[in-house]
Amino acid sequence: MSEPRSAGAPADLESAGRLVLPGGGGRAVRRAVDAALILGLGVIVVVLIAQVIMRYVFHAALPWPEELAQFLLVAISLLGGFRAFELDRHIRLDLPLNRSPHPLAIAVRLAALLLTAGFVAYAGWGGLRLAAATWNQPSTALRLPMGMVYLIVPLSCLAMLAALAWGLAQEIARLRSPTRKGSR
Amino acid sequence: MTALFLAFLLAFLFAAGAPIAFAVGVAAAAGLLMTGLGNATVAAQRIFAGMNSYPLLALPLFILAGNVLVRGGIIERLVIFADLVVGRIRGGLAQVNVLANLMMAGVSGSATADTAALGAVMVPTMRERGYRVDFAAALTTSAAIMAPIMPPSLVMVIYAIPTKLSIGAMFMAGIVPALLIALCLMAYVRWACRDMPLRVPEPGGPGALRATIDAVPVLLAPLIVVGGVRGGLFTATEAAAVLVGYTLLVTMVLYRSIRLKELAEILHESAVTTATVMLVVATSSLFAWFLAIENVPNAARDLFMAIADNKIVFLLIVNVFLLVVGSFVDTVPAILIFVPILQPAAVQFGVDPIHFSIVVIVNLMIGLNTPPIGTNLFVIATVSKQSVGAVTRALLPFYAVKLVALALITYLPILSLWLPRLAGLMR
Repeated sequence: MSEPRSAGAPADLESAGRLVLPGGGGRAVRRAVDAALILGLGVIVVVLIAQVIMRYVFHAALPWPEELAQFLLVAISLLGGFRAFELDRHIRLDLPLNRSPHPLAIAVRLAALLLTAGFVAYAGWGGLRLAAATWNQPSTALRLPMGMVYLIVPLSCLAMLAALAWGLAQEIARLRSPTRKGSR
Repeated sequence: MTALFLAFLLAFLFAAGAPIAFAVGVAAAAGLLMTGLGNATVAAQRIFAGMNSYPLLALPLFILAGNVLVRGGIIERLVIFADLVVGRIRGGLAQVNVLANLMMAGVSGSATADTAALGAVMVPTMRERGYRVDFAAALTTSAAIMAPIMPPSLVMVIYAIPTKLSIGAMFMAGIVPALLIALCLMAYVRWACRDMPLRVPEPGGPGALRATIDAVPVLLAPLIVVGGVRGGLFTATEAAAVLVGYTLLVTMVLYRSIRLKELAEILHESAVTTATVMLVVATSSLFAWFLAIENVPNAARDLFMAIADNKIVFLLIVNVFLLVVGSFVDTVPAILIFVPILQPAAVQFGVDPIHFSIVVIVNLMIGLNTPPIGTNLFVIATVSKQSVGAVTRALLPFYAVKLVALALITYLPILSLWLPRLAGLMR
């Protein structure tokens, strides 16, 4: 199992993986997502411990904790995926190329960002269609409309796309003004 | 042709620094589009389904338990206790490193997390006592590979998804191989530190009794996981939930080393780590699904059957293959993409799937320490402020030690299978 690393970046060019949404809007989204992550994982822990107690102490397992915890796991994974862009926590290689101000390196990064954004848009679009197709289909235990559950896919993809678009804009700015490499 | 293009696409995206989760996702989506086998809705559905799994719930819980213990100051307590046990022999602090890593492996499931956490404590301490920094770094990252081999193990939780193997049996199977790796490392350290001066006991530290009492709650934690999962009392997910409850009790009530506000930070940190792993799981599942409908696993099995004519040769080829894969690809996609390809062949050659899982995991863990793309190598280089090259040179003898352990684990299945059989978790 591995985790990302970002140390060692030269001061004039931050790690290209750190895509922070700017301004008050960015801050508001960040706060909401952070709260959702903390709450989501907190609820997973509480309901699963409660379920163990119900099952082994009271011999009366509840029907819904597993499903709720699984849905929350998907939600924190996708929302956390957005925050991981901002915090540069995604597992990725950090080669010198990734921080080079050379126009060719920037072009390579631009291509990678575009492909990544293309995949996120593809998955998000698929998630939207999936949500629409299953809007009236209830989940097994919680009887939630599955369309509502699936909505987390396009919502998170939208946030990730915003972060990626911001990253793209910055790389393009670097390409245009080679004297102010990496300024943001 | 498609396969070649996808391999090129993956290599390009990895090199360009794209997150591995998304690079694999791009390749999977490209494969689906090129072959006309799926559309966006199917891709989104597979990604969701790849994460919407009960066994995977163990992942955030084990990550959280590890983070709670690290933030609660557990590493320091373990190091003090290990010092008490093996600190007085020649090369004592290096032995402490191995023992602390082994004990930490019993509560943590991630080699990378352990490399970072123990490296931050052990490398400076060893430097102060006259050890070479590159040796300390190489030893720490080598010993950290025990984390996912000793239960609990994030890697085993993920391994169980495509293979449907019993996580409990895998947990049991990892114990003896992890101990074997510890033993091999300790034997090497004994030899490598033969010229180190013996240490005089330092006054002022906590007494022996105090250090032991401090460490006991942590040493008990693995029993919850192993004891709970054994005999099917708990599922791995339930054991992980109980472990989280236990670690919170120990750190917040017993040690009082974590406050409520810090708990929110730990939850946030753990959620983001979970997300980074889960997204790799999700897109790797999508990629593996694409390979499966392209019938790649069966073709690979036939290929292996054609080039290897017995179990010994097959395992040798697999070891070489996985060592190479492990030096280039992260553990999670390596498992989700290659295990469905390799396991049918292993079964065909009469290799027990549980034994095979341990062989695969040990291989990939060695890969985490191997250039060009060894995550833990980069982590320890950063933590110890050494160049990757310096750490790699210091790692050379450790590779030999780990390969000896790997050979024993590969060709003596009893090492992996004895405990799960004893526990009645497999025939």
